[in-house]
Amino acid sequence: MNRTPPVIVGVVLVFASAWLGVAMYSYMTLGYLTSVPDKASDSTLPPALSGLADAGQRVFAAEGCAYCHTQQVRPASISGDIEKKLGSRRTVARDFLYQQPAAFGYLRIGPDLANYGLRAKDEAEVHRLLYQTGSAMPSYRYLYIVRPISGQQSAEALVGLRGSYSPPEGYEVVPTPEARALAAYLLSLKQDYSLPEAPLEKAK
Amino acid sequence: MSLGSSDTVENSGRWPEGWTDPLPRLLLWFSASAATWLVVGLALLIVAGVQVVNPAFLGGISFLTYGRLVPAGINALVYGWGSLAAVATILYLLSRLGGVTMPSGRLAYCALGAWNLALLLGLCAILAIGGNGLLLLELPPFANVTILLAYVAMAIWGYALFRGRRIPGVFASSWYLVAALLCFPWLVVTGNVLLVWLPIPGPAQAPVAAWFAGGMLNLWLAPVSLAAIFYIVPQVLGRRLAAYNLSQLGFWSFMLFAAWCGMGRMVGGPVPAWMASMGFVTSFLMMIPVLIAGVNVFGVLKGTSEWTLPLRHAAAGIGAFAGTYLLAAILAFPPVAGIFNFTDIAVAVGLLGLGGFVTLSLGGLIQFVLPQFERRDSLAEKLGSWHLWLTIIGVGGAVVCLVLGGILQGFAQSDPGIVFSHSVDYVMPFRFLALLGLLIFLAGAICLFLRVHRALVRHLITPP
Amino acid sequence: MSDPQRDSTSPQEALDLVELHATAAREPVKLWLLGVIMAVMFVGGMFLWANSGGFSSSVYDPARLAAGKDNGAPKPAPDPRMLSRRLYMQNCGACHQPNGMGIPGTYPPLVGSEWVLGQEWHGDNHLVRVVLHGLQGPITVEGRSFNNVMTPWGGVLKDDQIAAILTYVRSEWGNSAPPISKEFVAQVREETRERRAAWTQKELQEIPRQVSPPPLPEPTPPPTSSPSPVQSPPAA
Repeated sequence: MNRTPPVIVGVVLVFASAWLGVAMYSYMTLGYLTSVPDKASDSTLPPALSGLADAGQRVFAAEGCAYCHTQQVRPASISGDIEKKLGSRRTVARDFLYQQPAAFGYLRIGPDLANYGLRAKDEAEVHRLLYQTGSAMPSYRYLYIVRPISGQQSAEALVGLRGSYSPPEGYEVVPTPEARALAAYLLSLKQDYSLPEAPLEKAK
Repeated sequence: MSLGSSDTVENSGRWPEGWTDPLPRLLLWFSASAATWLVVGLALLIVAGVQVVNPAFLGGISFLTYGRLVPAGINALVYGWGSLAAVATILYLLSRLGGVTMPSGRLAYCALGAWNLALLLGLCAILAIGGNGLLLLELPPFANVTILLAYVAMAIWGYALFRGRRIPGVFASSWYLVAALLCFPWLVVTGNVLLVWLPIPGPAQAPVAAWFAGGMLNLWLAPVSLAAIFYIVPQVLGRRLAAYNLSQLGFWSFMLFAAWCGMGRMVGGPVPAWMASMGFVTSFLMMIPVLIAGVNVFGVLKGTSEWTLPLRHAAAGIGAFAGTYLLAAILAFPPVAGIFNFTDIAVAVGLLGLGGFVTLSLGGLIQFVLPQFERRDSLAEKLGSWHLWLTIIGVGGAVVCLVLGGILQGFAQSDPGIVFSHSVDYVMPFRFLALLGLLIFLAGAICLFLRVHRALVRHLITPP
Repeated sequence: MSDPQRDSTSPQEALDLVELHATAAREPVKLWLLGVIMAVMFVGGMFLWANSGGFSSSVYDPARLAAGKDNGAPKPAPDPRMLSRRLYMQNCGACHQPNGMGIPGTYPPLVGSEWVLGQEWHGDNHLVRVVLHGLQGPITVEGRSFNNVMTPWGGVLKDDQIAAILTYVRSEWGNSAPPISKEFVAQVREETRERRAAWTQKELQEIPRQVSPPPLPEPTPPPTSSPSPVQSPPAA
């Protein structure tokens, strides 16, 4: 008559299987991954984030960069990522060792960023992209300050701005601490080393 | 359980002495909130969509950038529209299918108020200071805790209604409702604890986050929507579902595979091989419950001439259900995922699931209950059918455009000879058309909003 | 055509609905449908099994071997030839050289040596004796004479290690002679139990020539003990 227990018990068992299999399993195995020693650089891999880059990943999360940018290079067996030089090996869980949260991303409305630090020329270029974009990305102008130049122009002022983005005469555009942190984080994104579970591959 | 247990079976159609059934009115209030969030969420997402087509739109305004509008919009749709409509559906259907009701809806109204307030403040927080980058966990902790507590207050009633039911059989809808009732708190607690409050190390986050985000549709909104469809169809037609003997198989296979198929998004991603394979295989095996549900519903719809509005909703909803999981299964196939996993096709899957399947099914149930509150004039009917058709056209059109654009995008992004910005240019016309589809969908949502609020106003000014 | 505005306000209708379906649920399920479902699940299960990478948390590409999983996992059986080679390099290579050519005028070559290959008057028993107890020059190898001392290895290397080294030098660098079995080494060791001094060419020439019987067909277990001479205790 009262069939409550079978349905509820069954649902709990089914849900628990996935909960144990995904959430708890990930926590107990992937959650305990550690860095691996690297003889060449006499340090450990993946390289730890600098303090500034660590702050930058929080800006990355808050500004929702991960809604448009993935940070995962897929293996050559199923995708053209490596052939397209997005990276020299697939991304594995250990690559996110120092990321909090892990910004793996679901969509590539913008390009993959797993190895952005290898592609970017310098910090000035990153700031220029964030400020005036020049692509399908919205401008992150509000992470920068336009201020009158007092005395000499600041060393970190953005150069090479075009059109409506170039500041008026006597003014300069300087990054806020958030923008500096974000740039440091973006420049730290490099997966150019081998990990035991993911050796480097060569593009064909 | 004391609910109605003193009643005899002959009495099973009526409520205990002195009780008035609060549930239709509760559903009306919940629908009003939910429809409002549907409009709000869609509007936020459309503004974000305009920025994809034209990045300069509202450029440089911190609280209106794409990266904050998208989480705000998605959370409004999932926690506002989908979840509120789902909670109301659970309570309403468990009451109907059990022949019992609640003595009072006071607790539920308090919970609804708290939920709405928490969500509103949470969305403002996302827009003001940004989210945390974890899909469907962006709401600040205070909002998530409040929503969870409000949910528990209502889920207790849901469980009481189920335990106190007065008829021996259990209809398939009840299983789905009870399953969803159990899964939502478990999912939300797991996701928030493991990813936000006491975050686990980065390497373990990707599978948990993907599983959580998938679970909010697969284990929470989808079962409730299916329950609504399975309830509406035989109710309207007065005939039983076809191949109902398969329904148990359908339910258990659905639960088993839905519990895992969120991992289908991680094919090729930073998860161990077996997790990605599990994601694909379960996404593929979702075809079993999809087939069974399709046979159940379309078998009885075949040749029918009584096409009332709720029935059309249910038929379109089950079609969107099949389309969502079929598309998701194709997308999770490893060679396909390698090319298309990060393209607009993934957006299409989410839109078809949330905008098509969930919106049509739960909207169908709302419109099934609504007529008792409104003046039966042609405007109400028109608003109802506009909602249906605008939603079908808008979501359907947007999904088709996104899939076509996504195919182009996937090939362009896999071609070493095409630079990234060109792949964006190719897909832009499709995104523009999909945005028009979203606008049509928004118009449909506004129709639902108007119909529900019109009924609410009428109900408020003319006490029964 | 029913009332388009029909709604579900009557709970009785819902209850009828439940009862209507309760009987339907007891109808038997079509067997072919169950068969199809089982087949689909079977295919899914096979795919999962084939692509699970052993359900290991460190395998990302099942096609590739479980890289990085070297702790605790059983290693593939080592190549016996590689172990023999290592034994030779550690114990013999210093004098006879890694390429087996020796050092002209000082250490005789092993490549093409009649001593090694068991040609002319040299038998396998002579070769084993030399290794067990050493050799005192002068000797003649490939027509050249050497006058030096080879140290005894019988106390340092075990029978199977000596057999492995000799088999190796008889089949490496272009040499091709039958292997020496460890039983044969043990037999020679037994015959010469009393011998302490190194052999001379003259002494050896007086001993009749013997040939090692081919090794037993069982897969010769590679010498697993540490090849380091220091750690190998002499037979008590």
